[in-house]
Amino acid sequence: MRIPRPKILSLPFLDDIEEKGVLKASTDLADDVVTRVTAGLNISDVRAVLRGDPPARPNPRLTPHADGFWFHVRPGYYSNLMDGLYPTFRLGWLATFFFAWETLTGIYLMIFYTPSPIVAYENMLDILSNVPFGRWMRDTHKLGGELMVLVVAFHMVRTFITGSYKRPRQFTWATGALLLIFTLFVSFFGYLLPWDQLSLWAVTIGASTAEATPFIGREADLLMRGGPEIGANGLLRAYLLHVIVLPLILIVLLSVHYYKVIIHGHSLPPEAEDAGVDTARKVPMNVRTYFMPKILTRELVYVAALTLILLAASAFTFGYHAPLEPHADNLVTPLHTTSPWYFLWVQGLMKLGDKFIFGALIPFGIVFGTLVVWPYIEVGRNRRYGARRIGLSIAAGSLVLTAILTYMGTPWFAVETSPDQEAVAVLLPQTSPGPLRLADWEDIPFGTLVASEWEAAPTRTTSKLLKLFDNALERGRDNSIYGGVEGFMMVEDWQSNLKKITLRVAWINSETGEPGEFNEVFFFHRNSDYGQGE
Amino acid sequence: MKYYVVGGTLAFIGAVALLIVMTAMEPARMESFTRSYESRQIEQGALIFESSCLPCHGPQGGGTPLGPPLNRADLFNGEYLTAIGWSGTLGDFLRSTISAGRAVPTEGTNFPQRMPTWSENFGGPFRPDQIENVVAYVMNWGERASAGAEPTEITGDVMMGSDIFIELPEGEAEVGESLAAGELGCAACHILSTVGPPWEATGGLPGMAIRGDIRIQQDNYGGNATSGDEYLIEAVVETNAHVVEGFQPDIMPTNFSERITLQDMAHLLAYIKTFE
Repeated sequence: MRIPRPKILSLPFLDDIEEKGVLKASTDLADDVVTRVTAGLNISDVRAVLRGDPPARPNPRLTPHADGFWFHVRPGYYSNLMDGLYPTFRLGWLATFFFAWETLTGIYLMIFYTPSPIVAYENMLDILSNVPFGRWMRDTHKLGGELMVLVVAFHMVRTFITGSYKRPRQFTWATGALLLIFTLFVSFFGYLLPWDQLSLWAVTIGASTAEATPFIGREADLLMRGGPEIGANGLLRAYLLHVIVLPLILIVLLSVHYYKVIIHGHSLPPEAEDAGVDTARKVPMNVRTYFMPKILTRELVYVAALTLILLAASAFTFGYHAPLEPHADNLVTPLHTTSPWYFLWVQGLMKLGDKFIFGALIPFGIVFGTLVVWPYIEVGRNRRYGARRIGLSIAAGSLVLTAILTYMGTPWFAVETSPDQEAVAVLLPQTSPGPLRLADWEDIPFGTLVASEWEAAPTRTTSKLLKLFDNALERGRDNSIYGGVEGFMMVEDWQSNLKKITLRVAWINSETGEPGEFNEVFFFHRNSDYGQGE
Repeated sequence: MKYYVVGGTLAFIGAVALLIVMTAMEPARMESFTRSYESRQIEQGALIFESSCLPCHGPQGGGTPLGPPLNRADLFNGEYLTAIGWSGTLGDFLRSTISAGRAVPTEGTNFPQRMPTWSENFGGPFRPDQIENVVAYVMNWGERASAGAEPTEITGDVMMGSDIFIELPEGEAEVGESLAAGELGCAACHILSTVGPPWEATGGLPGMAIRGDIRIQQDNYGGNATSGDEYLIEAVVETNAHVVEGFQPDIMPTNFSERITLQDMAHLLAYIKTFE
């Protein structure tokens, strides 16, 4: 019999070595660590998952879903009707992916950003000119944000079409609708941060609807803008909403949303179960697709593929690039300025009349309110398409209406501008670089050119520009105020590498006989090189 | 499943490869944007000039009876800056003048009004970035303004540089005195106050004329001078070579080697040596 030696220090691992030898003790320890980290899978289990081996019985791969944090927000198995791209298109997962993507790229941008009107725009220029990967981070953050809005909206449409919001998933839908609304807002407040003309005016238009809030309109407006017009306070508030307040709300809602999916299971395609019955919780053994390894592998593959796509989308000059207009200026409203595209429908509504009814009550009260509580209104349990004719028709009608309202929100609907300014803005738009700024500097000779004589223009570039100019002037030719309207482009040698280009529209008012004229000056530098990602 | 794994692996490798390509391209991209931004500053500055500066300085910066020309050689070759005793760069001069304007019309001119303030920091209408745009635009005249102009003759105005062993011409103490009181501004700290070591004899110390000889003998002397004169020159052009005990480095401006001519250094030295 061995007499235990007296212990100075009690270390179980040392005892293990004594008992089993170094090798066995070490592998046992490694196994133990892996089991703890994965919340239930030892090394050979993990290896089997990675190799795609069938699981042992009872399936050890379900333990992490029960005991671990990260896996417990995912179901242990899907019905094999639901495991592929169809019918969900993985839109909910995709939305979460973009949320993570925005968080990571957002943190990178935060390092180089100060929310102050004095330096915010300069920060943008620094990010573009001095920060490695700065342009890509900015582009992908912007692109990811806009795609997230789209993905969340599509996710909602898909859920509606398959009737997946119906009992017992009403509350899941409500959190989802709130997620959509807060996604819109987080994106909206992010719009302001570059502090360029685009941001300032898009947010100014959006914020003006806050004024339409009943009773406390003025206060709500002041609270959001931080003053009568958006300045230092407004920028700081938008920043804090964008980086802290709204993301926190999103995280809370997202957690609830995910938890509800675990509780209720994935809603099956309507035709896969009896009318009015929900069988998602009871997936028979023979139609289960376990999360590990199949779903997990696919999701990792999606992450790799999406990363590659998003990298490629903005890696080169020809890809997608977040716009950056001139420095924000409260005194200069750019022609054709709009709210962000996902709020154009509100801008369209507001053109219909009263600010309170069309700018606040309908979009934020009725539309958003109805969205959130819809499953509690349309309570029929049958998810079959045939049983939901009214609901589906309302949804389809709403989509069409949104599309129409979005069009009405654009500058092409019910915005009175003079044809002379419009014609100049075709060459020299105020919300994007446009054809003149993107034209070949060398190819614009000095002298005066006439728009209608574009065919005789000295160079191809000028011929193209003048043709655009002339076509845009056509609108004025129908108007009796613009008698004999003509466009001119005067190019002068101004400084080293700097041309002064004056676009002039001249006419004679046919009714009064008075001559009229509109000029816009553009200074064009040889190296200004627009369109390289801003 | 197999295809998924292969596809995913390829996508991952592709992403890493793309990242490497981007890393290689980043310096060129950042440089390209910097150049393009500097060019756009000129464009924006030109627009501001058209609306705000043109009425007095003329359409091509050629000047009017209300304001002096800007598109002129002596602004860009340094003559004007020397004449007014400006020690910074031309960009600094333009930035400062445009931002803060002038308190009175430029000395020696008959312009009816002073340059207004333009920066919002001084009660004017423009943001700092707009001021920068105008500076960039005015600076862009440099090439042509200088090209058409007579080359500026350099008449004995050899700058001092930082060589303390250089041979100096004859200097006159009276000229040195006016330099110390005026253009170079030495008197403010060394005669009228004790921000820097006083030139006068004070306490147990003799005047500057003799003090150099004492300093170079001291154990803590950190400079290269081997004579009292060299010590004084070093103190002007290599300010931090030896910092006198009780004073901090950099309080004495460190750019005198670029500001003072060889001849002026000689005048100044002659003047300092009158403090016995």
